[in-house]
Amino acid sequence: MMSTTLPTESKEMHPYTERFNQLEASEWALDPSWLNQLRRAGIAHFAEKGIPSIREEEYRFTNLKPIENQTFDFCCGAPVADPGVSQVQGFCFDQLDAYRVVLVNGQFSKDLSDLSGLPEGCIVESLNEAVRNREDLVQGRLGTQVKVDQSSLAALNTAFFGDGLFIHVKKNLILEKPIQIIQLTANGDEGSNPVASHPRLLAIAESGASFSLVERCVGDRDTAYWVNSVSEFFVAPNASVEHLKVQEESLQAYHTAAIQAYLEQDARFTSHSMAVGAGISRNDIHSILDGKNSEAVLNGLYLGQKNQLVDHHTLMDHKQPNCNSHEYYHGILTDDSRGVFNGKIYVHQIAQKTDAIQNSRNLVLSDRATVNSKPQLEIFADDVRCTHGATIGQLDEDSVFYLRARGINEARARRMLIHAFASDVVDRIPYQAVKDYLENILADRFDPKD
Amino acid sequence: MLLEIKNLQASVEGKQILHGINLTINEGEIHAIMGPNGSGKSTLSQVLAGRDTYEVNAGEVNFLGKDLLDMEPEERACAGLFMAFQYPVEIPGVNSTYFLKAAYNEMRKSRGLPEVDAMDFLTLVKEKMKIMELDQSLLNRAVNQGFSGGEKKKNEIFQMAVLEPKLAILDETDSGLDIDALKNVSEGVNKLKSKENGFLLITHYQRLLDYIVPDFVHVLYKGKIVRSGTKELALELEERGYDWIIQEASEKSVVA
Repeated sequence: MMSTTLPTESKEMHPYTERFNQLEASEWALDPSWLNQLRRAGIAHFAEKGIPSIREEEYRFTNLKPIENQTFDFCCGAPVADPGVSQVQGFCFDQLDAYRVVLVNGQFSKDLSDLSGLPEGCIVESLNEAVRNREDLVQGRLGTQVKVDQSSLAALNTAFFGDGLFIHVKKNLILEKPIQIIQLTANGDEGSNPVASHPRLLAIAESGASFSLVERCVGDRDTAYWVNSVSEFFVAPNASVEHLKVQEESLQAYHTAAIQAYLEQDARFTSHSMAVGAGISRNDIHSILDGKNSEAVLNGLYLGQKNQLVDHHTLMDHKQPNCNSHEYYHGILTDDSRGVFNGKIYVHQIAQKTDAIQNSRNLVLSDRATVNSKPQLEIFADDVRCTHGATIGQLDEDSVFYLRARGINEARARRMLIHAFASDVVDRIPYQAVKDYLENILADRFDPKD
Repeated sequence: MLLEIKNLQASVEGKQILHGINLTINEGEIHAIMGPNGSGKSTLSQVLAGRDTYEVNAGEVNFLGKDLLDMEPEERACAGLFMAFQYPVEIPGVNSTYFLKAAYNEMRKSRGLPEVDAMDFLTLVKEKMKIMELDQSLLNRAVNQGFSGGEKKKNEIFQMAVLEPKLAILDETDSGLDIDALKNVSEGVNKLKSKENGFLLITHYQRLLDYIVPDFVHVLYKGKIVRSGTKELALELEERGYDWIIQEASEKSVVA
């Protein structure tokens, strides 16, 4: 092409841009133009910024070079390997009475999902389908919370999400059972590049509606891949949404995610982020409290072992008066692992009577493990209550001795105290099946092997 | 013989606190150790319980025919040694009943007995509640969390009632208790004392000894037992304070 000779474009094209151009010309050629505009804005932003570097304040402690240096196969719309129902069932929480949605490499799998009994007024379907058939619900929402200029990773997701999940619960409908979402990442044949998938979730609760999502992120054990997801929640007046995510990717995998909830008056959003897996993981979890009396609760538990890096960046954006935000994050770090927590609370001038609590506690169980915990409060209203606390420490030796002095051996005493530390967050989860599962993970990780 | 301490010397952070303690406690005996602040009373109880922040520099401690100093704290507990803490620790997230059942079963396991299940343990707890009156709702909470000072001390005695030790060390259990709580705790101890077990009461005040009558009273000063006697010694201390004993002790050391 002639244009390649122009000096401004003589720079080698980023392979992702090249891939984007191919997809745009082929698979996405018939997609609505607003969607392709959104995608193009995504790739343009990414092309300009690239993978975030540690020179950026928001990524100071999280080096994503390994992602930059790796060549990935982007799967967006390409057919994926069928993992089979039995494998998928193995990833479901036993004893959890829930609807089941399965996404493989970010693509909704109708065959593997089980939505029987879903009440009328509740839509759970492929985002790809919704984009085409429910433009009225999707356009004007998709990409308006997690915007492309928020981060280049979100921009990349916006450019490449081929599919994803769309949830819509109509006015005053209360979904009794949670929707269990299995996010499965599967690599291609041996010898192929690791997969990068860009799952996208758009979930809408109309006024007075209520639903819960239990998301589990898993992949091929001991393989490298990259999951870069974006989830947008719209919570209308009086509606309530709960999002529980258990991230258990392979220890060689990368997991980056942007989650944002937009809350109107009297709305409620609860997030539980349980980060267990992935070599490098980064969660950006934002609550935009843009209606009076709305409430956001962010709970988090992260467990680091070996060389894992677990990063959570949260934002409570108080834009209206009388809103509450509560945040409880606990980390347990062993070996050479690193934990990062950055909790930002932004209180706009109009947001009087804000009640914000942030609590970050970290248990560092090895000399080599590190934690960077940073509360970041920006308050422009004068009648507010904002409290925050951050602790980083070891197990309390007085407590260990107290238990031992009652006959409990040292290993068990330490284990009891670790479980107790985690239970402060785990106990906030409303599903016994998930609680039990997390207790087992803790036991696996911290109980002495006989 | 329950416990025999010979020439026990111990230090903390390089500073010697105990300068050669000798003490023998037999089954059925209640001993009281008194002394002014800083004399080493709490160090003695911590060393006996096995706290590793204290270093034993010399001496021997024999507990029921075993070398106590060679045992881990949990082994000492399982062998029948119990210390009621001066400052019981709050342990958020660890349920009181779960903790006590774990402790009880560890003890049973060490004696080759089968573990008890939750139902049987609850029956036992209810029975022991009769000995030490404690608000049962406290047992549904985390260990000592949000307990008042008195409740914490009562909880220690309650744990003792459940675990039935051979030798109980009460480390200033009376401090910070009002008169009702003090009576309550003392009644608990009196119900638990038998011909088979022994008690070592560590206290600053004679007040506790009005309710739990000791067979022997020892005065600890500068890490040594400078005088031993019967309960009359405690009364004399109440009346005359510690000064005369301190003076006698220093005169003795000058002569020596």
